[in-house]
Amino acid sequence: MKNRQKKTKRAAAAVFALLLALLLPAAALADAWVPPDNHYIYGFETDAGARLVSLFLSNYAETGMTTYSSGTPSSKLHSVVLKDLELNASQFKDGLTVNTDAAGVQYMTVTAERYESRAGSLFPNSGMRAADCPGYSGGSITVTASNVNGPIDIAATVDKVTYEGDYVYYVDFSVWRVNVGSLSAVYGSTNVVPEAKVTKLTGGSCRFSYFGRKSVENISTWELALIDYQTGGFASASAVLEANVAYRPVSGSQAAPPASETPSPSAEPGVGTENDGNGDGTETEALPEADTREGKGSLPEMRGGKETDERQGVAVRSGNTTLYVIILLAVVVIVLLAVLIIVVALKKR
Amino acid sequence: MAAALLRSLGVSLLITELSELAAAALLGVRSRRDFLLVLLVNLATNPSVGILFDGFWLFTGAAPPWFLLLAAELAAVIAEALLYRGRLAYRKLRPIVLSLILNLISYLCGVFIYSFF
Repeated sequence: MKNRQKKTKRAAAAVFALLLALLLPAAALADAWVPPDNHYIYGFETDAGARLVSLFLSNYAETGMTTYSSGTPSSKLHSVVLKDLELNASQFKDGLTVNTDAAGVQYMTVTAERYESRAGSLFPNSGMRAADCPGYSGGSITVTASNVNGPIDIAATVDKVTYEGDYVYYVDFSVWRVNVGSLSAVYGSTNVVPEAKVTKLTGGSCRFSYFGRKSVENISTWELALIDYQTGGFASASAVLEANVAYRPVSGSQAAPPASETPSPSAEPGVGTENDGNGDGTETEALPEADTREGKGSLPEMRGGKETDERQGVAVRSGNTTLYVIILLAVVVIVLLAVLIIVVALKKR
Repeated sequence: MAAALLRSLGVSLLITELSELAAAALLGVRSRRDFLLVLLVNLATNPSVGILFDGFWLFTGAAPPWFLLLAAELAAVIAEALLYRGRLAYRKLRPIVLSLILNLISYLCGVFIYSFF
């Protein structure tokens, strides 16, 4: 009889320990939500005919991008690295030089070491080699407008990231033309950093759904999007999200921005018009100098929305906590049922 | 969010059940009753650990630290051993050893699957 009581006590202790483990995250971590910061969006013109820009949202402070790199054509990965080097050139002066060809056109070269170092930090374990990057010759890569995937002349940066809850982020972004006119307009010998020659084309908004996996690959869990600005520019900003591993599509209606926040794109992106997208046909300010901190957001435009994020974070925390508690209770019921069946139906021999 | 969370828990449970049942068979478990016990025991422990990790990830945005992971897995191993004790017809291994091996295998299966897919 005593033995039976002892066993019952043990079983009760096991169940109690399980329940304690279940309740711990809800109680202790309820206020630990971290707002997003230092997010980037890069845009790439795929080819002139398609007029599509692939966007992805990432946070260089995090590590990973494994899923993104495994689900993305290698040519696009090279393009990402080149664009990163171009936009953050001030960080990589030791590996970047500006040259002038016979016709007097200036262009940028990147050493293979610098390239592979940066590729390795952006896409760990992807095994990207400088020799596979278009423009590679004799130990360095020549960065020109005709490099990977057509010109690397369109960049999109984040103006504001707002967390709307339920894993959905609302992103306001600007589209910049980096290579305006000839290459010499970009890579001046006193102007390795292209900020002074970058003009804003237009802006737009879209929603990104965070579809995370519980891993360290937080970067790669941002959805990859194709923004079709063939019809109506970014004013309609329908985000057609590309199916990919660990990504989920978002419907067109969900992706459309609110009318009040829709910019007026008088300039058609990608046709060389220098316009700020506000309808006045004027050039806007250039991108400010890049941050020199390795691995952090380099352009202030890429940050932003923190205040909004924090404000909305309160509601988000609350919403997530409620859902979490509901699921938690369901789990508790399942666990108790399973234990009950074991104890009652599968009695000790 | 709810769908993502439920899917995460479901996938985790499925991987655990399949890997542990397969491992149990390889270790010589033959009785239907024992297989049912393995199934139910995992139904009792896996969602508990899963919801703990998901909660951590959900509220912090980061993967759980190794010590939390270790503590939760050890708790699961002990809880499972307690539930196996006296109920298994299988006698080749002690419940705690069996529980440890099965959990190690399912953990490694999970790591492998999440790393490559």
